[in-house]
Amino acid sequence: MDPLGVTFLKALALCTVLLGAFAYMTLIERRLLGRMQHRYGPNRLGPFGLLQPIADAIKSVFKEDIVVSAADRFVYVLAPMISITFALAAFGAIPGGPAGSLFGFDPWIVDLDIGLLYVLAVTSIGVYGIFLGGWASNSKYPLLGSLRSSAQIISYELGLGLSVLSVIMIAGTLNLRAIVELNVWSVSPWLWPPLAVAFGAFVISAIAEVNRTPFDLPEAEQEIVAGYLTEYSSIKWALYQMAEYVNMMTASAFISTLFLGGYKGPTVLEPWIPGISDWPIVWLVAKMALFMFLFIWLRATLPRLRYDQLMRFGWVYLFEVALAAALVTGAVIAFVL
Amino acid sequence: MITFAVLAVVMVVGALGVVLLRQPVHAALSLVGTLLTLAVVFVTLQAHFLAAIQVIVYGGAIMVLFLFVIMLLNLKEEATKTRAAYRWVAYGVGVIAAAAIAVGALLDPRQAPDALAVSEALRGGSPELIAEVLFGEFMLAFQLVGVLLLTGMVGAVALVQRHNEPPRPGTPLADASRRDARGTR
Amino acid sequence: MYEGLLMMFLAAGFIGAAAIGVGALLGPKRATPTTLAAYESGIPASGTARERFPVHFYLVAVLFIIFDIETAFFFPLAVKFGAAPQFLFAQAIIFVGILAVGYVYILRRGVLRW
Repeated sequence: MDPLGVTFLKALALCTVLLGAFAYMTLIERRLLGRMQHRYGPNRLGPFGLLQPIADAIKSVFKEDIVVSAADRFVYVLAPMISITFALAAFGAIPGGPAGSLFGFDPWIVDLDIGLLYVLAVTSIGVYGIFLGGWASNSKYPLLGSLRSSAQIISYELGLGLSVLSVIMIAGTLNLRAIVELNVWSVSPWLWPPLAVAFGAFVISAIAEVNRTPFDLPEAEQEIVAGYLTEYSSIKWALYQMAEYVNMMTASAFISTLFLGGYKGPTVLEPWIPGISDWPIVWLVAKMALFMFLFIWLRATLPRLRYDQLMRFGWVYLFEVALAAALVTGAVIAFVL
Repeated sequence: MITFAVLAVVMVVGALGVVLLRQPVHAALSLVGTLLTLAVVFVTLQAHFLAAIQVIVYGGAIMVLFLFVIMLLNLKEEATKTRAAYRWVAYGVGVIAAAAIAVGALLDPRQAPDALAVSEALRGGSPELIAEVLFGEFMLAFQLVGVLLLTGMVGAVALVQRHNEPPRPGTPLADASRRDARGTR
Repeated sequence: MYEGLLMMFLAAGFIGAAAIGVGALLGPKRATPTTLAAYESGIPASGTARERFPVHFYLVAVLFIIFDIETAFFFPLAVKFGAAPQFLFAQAIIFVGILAVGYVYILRRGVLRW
């Protein structure tokens, strides 16, 4: 357990790193999309366009901050704050390595016995940022967008909660570090099929939770302009973008932690470089990068769902599949093992 | 103790906001704040599991429903104005209720249980302990909660969809969903 | 333990507040009635946005609460599952069975068909 001051500095450092990662993720995303669509993407500012995010940041700060005259000013400012605060805070419980491995400090902000529920709970509050943003704008497109969005987010939270049950049943704990140390796949090959299904359901729910293609309904520009973001400009708009990317990163880290051994590296490398699988941060970031790439890849590949398809998919297929995976896991533990 | 005092003040202010704020959405937000502060109180009592469930169920689900309902009703300004007579009745009832609670709390002859002993027995309300009790001693109650939830589900659907009406024909959504529903469900 | 959480939220809130503060200080302020009007694809905004909306969203929220509570009950069950797997599995099946009745009902009533 680190001293309080160190914890605050770590929290501030984590937030800064996440925001830096957000800035460069926008660049990586645009470059990758460009590559996938046979065009360049931003490549003018600095080598490979590396200065582009900085230019974007400066631009968004110096843009005029418009508050629509019909808006509810207090809630209008509060909404992006809620989004970014809870998005950043959710990451705090995700362990980045074994205890004390980060130059003698713990590579996480808080180590909770219920770390898993903490991440689910804190991210579930993010829906207010979206709902209130649309409501406070007092404008038609944002309101429609925020309604759709919040209904979507709460619907897919069910899939998220149910598909995580398999992991909890196998691990017997809600502590994220304990789940990483156990590695749910190592328990029994009998558990692989339900676990694989739960993994798939979890990834799909997570994509829907962070509003990414093919579930990016709130940003269905052909129908509702930019959804809840329509009336937001300058830094408040940027805060929403930050929150979206930070949520993507939290989702990637959460998936890695629950299903892919989190901060643990492959042990096959141990004979050559002893202790490499316990290096902090590195492995988690590598696994996160995998999912971030998946998010971008999906965006370049898949078309957007229609709203009724989205709701039916979440409530009918995903819900049933996730519940079935949890029950099969339970049955295997109860009757096979 | 200081933490609790601060949190208690925040909660009372939040609760007052629920009652006093004019705009229904602001009042609901105030309630969200109050409920989240209650979760923080749980955290300071080391009841982490309870805090998480509080946030997930109350913060993430029930208050979203409240906001949806407020949007659904969409009260206009005039509808939120109350008649003066009603207001005096409400004040009176409120004062009497508060007095009754105060009297009840102060005159209760029972000794308050020792906080340390209670927290020892609760072990921070860990999920393991809750599971032991909930799925052991209160097994039947747990299943009855299932029945209760079922009732709620059926009730909500029955209220909203009085007649088994399909989506109105002619609207694009209805046509599309009927087309998609064929062969699936 | 909870001091750590407090620190996390302080840091996160600080970032958000600082960003909004900086934006409010540095951005130009040349608002005109046109820029401050609600965006409605370029035509003058008409009426208020606070219209009543479909009751369907209410239904989704109610059903979400019900299944969210179901999931909340399953968390402690899953944590403790190893202690008495067969017994707890039977309980879970009965619980899911009860709710499945309602689930089939909402499917039949076409609630999830938008």
